Amino acid sequence: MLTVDIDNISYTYADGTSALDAVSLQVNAGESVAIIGANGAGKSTLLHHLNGLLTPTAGRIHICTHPLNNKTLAEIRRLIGMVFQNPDDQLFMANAIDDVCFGPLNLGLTSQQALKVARRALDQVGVLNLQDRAPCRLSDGEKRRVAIAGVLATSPEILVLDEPTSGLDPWARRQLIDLLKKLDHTRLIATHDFDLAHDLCERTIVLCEGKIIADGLTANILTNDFLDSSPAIPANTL
Amino acid sequence: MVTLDSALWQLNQSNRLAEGTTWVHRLDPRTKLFTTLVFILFVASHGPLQISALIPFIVYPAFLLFNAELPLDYVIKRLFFAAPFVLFIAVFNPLIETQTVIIAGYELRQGWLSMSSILIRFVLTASAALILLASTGIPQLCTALNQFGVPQLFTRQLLLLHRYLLVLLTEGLSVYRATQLRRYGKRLTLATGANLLAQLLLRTTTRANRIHNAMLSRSFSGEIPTPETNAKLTKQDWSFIVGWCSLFFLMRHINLAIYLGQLLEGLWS
Repeated sequence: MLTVDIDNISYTYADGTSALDAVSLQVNAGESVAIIGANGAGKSTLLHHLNGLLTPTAGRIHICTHPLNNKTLAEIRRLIGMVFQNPDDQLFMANAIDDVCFGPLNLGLTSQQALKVARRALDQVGVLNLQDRAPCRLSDGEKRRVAIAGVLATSPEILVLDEPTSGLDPWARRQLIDLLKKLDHTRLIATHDFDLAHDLCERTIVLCEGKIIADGLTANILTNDFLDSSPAIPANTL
Repeated sequence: MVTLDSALWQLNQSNRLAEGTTWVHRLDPRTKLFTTLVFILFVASHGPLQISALIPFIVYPAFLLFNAELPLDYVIKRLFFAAPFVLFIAVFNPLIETQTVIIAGYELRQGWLSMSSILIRFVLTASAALILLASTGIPQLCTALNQFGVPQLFTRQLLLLHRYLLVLLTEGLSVYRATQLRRYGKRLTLATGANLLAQLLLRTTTRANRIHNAMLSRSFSGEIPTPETNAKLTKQDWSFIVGWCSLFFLMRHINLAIYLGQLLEGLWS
């Protein structure tokens, strides 16, 4: 079943910078897809289109058969759980449990129900013991886990992660990869971390200057032969 | 950048202290907030020339400080930080209030008495508030304020300010350090300072945008909901409130310092 259907979308920022150029992408349920590319290739811009934070200047997006528009935006934001690159942007509440409850409460759950799902989500990512801790008193790895719990608590169909391992030490990074492996959601992960892409995603998409220049099995994409031979990927861009 | 560094450290220190596990920390935030407000009310209700009647009130902040295992220097340093503002207000009293009073055979301007009273009141109320903060934490205090009927709009602003002040300070510090490393000992010019501030403003705007996006992604629609907790006050909470409020009432109506003085005088003679 198709969960993400992006049809020929383009996006140009207000200053005239073209960020996406005729991008088409289909992702099936349960698939795990890595999106790789140099800084400024359009990875984050593409992800921000999935839950309507940005609206394409051309093209159409369907999420689980819903066309992305103002009428379906609320439902689509429930279906897509987005974990942002910097957890400090995401964790804004006074403590971890309140932050994780934010999504479920917005979805109309009662306080008791929200607390229940929040505790379950915190437990799932292994930080239930930090539920009363203020975000500023968490390590980067812990913040990342709480941010993921905040998204899992809304029971999304699709997980979208923007550079989930950036800024983490090797130990915290490995822990996070192991955690993400346990989640069986459809996943789209924008990353510079080839190990993560290799470990978590069977499929990889390469973006370059707003265009998809490769889409295939991760094992085939992340080979020296492919990366060296691709004329659209200068050696220093990945 | 000593000032930014120390501001960061102090903010973190308050958060760290609030994570203590003593019985004072475990008290319901409403209990501590209410009792401290009553304490402040009783201290503030004394006449402008009262000094001896105020002294016994020190027992409340001292009790909390000791039982919450908070470092004394945490309170003293912050009192010193705020003291100049209070001094500035109180220092004119001896000049304005020129009537004289006789204390222990010495003639003294009334202004000196009212100045001392203001300073004692400042020490008592500010130390109680600081101890409340360090043994409870801003988030919990905001929740307690909400439960007391303070509008969410106000407490949310306070919470967000507290949350992102640390982030802003961290960013400010890194911007400043990056500049400092390339100044090679030269003074910060006005133009560079203005650029730094502009950078910080831009970063703040960008971050605010990112935070808003993250909120929208979790179905934000204008309200920031928090789970309601129906935690009831325990017997310990009620004992704390009743015990302390009774003592404040007693100390307000009976000058314990004078009684104690007379008692000691009697014993001595």
